[in-house]
Amino acid sequence: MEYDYIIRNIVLVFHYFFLVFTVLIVGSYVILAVFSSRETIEYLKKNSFVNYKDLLTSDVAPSISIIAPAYNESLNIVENVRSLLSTHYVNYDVIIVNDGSKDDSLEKLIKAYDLERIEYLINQRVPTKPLRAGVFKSKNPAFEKLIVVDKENGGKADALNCGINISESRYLACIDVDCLLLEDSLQRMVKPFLEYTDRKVIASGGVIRIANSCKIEDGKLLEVNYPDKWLERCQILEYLRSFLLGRMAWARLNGLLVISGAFGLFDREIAIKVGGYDTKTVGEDMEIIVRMRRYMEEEKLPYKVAYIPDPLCWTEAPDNRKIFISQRNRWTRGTIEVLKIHKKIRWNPNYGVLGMLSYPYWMIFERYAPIVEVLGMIYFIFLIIYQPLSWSFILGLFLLVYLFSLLFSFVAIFTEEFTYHQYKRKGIGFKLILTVFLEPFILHPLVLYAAMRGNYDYYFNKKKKWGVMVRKGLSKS
Amino acid sequence: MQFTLFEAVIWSLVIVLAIIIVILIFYLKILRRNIRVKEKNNIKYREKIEKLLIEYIYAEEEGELLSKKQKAIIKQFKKGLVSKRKRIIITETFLQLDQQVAGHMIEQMNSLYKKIGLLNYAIKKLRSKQWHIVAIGIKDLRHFKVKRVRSSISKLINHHREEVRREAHLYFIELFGFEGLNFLDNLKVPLSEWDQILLLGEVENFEYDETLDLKKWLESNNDYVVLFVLNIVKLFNRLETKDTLIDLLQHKNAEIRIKTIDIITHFEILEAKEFIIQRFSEISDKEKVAFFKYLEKVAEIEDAMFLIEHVNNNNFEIKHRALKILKRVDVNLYNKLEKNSEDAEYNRIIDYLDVSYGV
Amino acid sequence: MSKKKIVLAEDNSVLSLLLKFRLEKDGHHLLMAKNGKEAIELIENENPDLILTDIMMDYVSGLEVISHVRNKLESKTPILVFSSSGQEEMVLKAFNLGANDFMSKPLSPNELSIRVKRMLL
Repeated sequence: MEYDYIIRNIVLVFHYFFLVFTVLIVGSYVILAVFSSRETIEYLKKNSFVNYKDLLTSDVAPSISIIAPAYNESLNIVENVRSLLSTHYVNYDVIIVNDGSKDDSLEKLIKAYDLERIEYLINQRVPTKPLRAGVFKSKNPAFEKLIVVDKENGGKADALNCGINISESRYLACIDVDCLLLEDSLQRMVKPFLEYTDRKVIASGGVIRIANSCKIEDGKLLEVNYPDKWLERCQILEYLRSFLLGRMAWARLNGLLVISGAFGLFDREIAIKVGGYDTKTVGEDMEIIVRMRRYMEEEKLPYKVAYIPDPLCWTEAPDNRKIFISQRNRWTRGTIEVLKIHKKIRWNPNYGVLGMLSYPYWMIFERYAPIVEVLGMIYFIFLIIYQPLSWSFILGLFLLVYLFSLLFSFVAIFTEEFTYHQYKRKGIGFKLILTVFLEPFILHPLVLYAAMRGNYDYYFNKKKKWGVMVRKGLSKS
Repeated sequence: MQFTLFEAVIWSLVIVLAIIIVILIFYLKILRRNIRVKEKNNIKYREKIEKLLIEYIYAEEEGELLSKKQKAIIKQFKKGLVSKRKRIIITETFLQLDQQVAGHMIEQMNSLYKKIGLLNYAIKKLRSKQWHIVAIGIKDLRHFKVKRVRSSISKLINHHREEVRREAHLYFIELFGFEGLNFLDNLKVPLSEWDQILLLGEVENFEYDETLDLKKWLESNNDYVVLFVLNIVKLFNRLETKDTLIDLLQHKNAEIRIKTIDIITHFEILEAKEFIIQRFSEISDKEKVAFFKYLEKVAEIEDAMFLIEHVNNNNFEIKHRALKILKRVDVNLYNKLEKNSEDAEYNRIIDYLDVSYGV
Repeated sequence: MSKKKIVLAEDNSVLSLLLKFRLEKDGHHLLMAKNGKEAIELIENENPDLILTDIMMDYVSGLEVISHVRNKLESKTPILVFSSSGQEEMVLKAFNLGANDFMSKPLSPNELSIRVKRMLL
């Protein structure tokens, strides 16, 4: 009798815990959807009559360095660099950091762009691994914007830091070398930095779009296609949700915690002041934003992290499960590490939105949500076995959660249709709907699994190295 | 535990959501089809408008005031104005050509713009309650060089939305040239860098005007006006502002001081050298770096002692420039310097200077 | 006299239509390209007598078009470039690459017509 009573209470506590958690998640989604739609409308109004061309011919346009670390990218490096060099902007340079590649990347670059080694005095403001072959520039004036640095291997963060030291520009565009940037990317990304007079914009983040199956030639995006593989399709939907709903809403609240490592623009001075990228974490792209924000909060300087929803950066997403899981595993570990490094700001009112909203949200809904979800499932199975639950209840609850998740996917798709409408072809609408229905069964289990693996690896398998992403190369897809 | 009430709630929610989702699916289908159809129609209509516009322009070249053909074309345009979608396309097509062709054709287009009645729509936009409509209205009016709305637009130069006031500022500069710059007298709001880039883009097209008094704006209470006019000083090489520039080296705003050093560097104004050297210990690091850039252009052998003081500066850039300039102005003194110090940075700079510039 | 073939590469559709009308009135045969890539294809297939190209275009810039004609195709076809204000540096590059003449925007179609006649002599 006594024993039964305790069990009953424990069950009840769990019960309310999961209930509250579910309500919180659904509630936060609704709020984010509202904020994001407001921000989207405002953004579209603001930019409906902007002429970016003036920036292209201006003598006072600020300088930007594109920094692209490359590790064993021999397959596509020449083409990728060519695409970066065709950006429409006046005052910029492209710094390719060859991070100790073991292949013939450097030789290929030297040959394709007529490079020669030059003396270059580096102001070593952020410590990095030493140079290997040195700094190269082209003999051909058509490629005067290109700087290639060959250094010893130190990882992505270290390579980015090397680029930060080399650059003399006001802003840094840190990108993955295999990303495809549209020609007007820099103009659009730099605009927020120039617009505000009452606060300093320290960084702006861009949307990442998935290039799998798209038609690409000579580093130009010719045609946007919807891939055939379900894993790729599901990721497209996931990205739409995350970039058009999630990040847009956080931009409205000035609470953005992450700028994707694939494409972000930073104020160089602040990036150097906080010490550049952290080489010890796998979540360096998130970490530097949190650190820059923290710095601004601690110095009591008004600031903003901006966000540009235009589809400017296209990149290849993993097309097989193994690579996908290892990518998400890494993201999970990155999140855990960054939250741990900066736990000082958690629930700390001195850090404003950052401490009271962004950090807790990230902790509860990104860090712990997968764990709670798995626990919830275990609990549910436990209930089914030990409590005489009605099947109608189980089915109803399941459908409720499922339909809610569909609803948010639909909101994301409608946002996309009303704004950028990238998937124009007839017939894709049906495929998108199908993806909405199937994604919870195809992608979500993998995401959960990868998150659990990430947690496991973080706590019990410290030696885990970077997941290596096997590139097919944009041109071939 | 009793779940029945709970179940009822859950199932009713499920039904509601399911209905919503079914509606959304159909709506998505319809929406996507509409977008496709609309895009197709827009392209068709745009092609038609482009053709009409060009026929109109060439028709006039051939003969008398308004030919029959032109009247017919005007009628066609007017028919389109009823629809908002078509109005936007017509305006866009006009604008597309507006800045690309010169002389008589522009005037023709501007008069056509008035004749078909688009002008009234633009003026109506100025009275809209939505800020972005107002901004679009001003933009249209400035592109079509409509001068008679000057007084209503002058009320917008301090508008609380930067997008609106930016268009208003551009209106004055684009239509009234140097005279239009007088809006700066009444400017109480900031000019962002973005504003300045757009404004300078227009200012660049000005004919040079010597009589323009830039000095009063360099002394403006609005720091943003000072920054903006400094750019104009540089653009048009207005060296007569020299004395004011030297005063600005003591301005309370650090950004203005740095910008002034840049301009002084551009003009290579020698008088500034002593002035800054005397107060060198008081200025910020950024100003110091800017000043050394200036010295790179103007330093002479008599500055060697000043340079020597800074070859061990903590700031890498100052140290580097001090050494580099010293080597240029007084290579003997430079060679007498200790070439090996405990400061690794110093050694690297020396090494760099000796290797890449030769001895 | 047979019609002279002219390739016109310009991404502004209204402007290119305007120029097309003007030059066709002069009795030329116009081949239109919306971007640098199309221009190169047309030049390779049609072997025109004159090339008119904008500098800033999508996919392949006007500079690359010039470089392609002069270096890859090793053709001496006269080239005239259009530039916008503030692109002086680009114009210099265009001349270095082998352009024969340039006109800055805003353009006067009549002036263009005269220059085209002169270049086709």
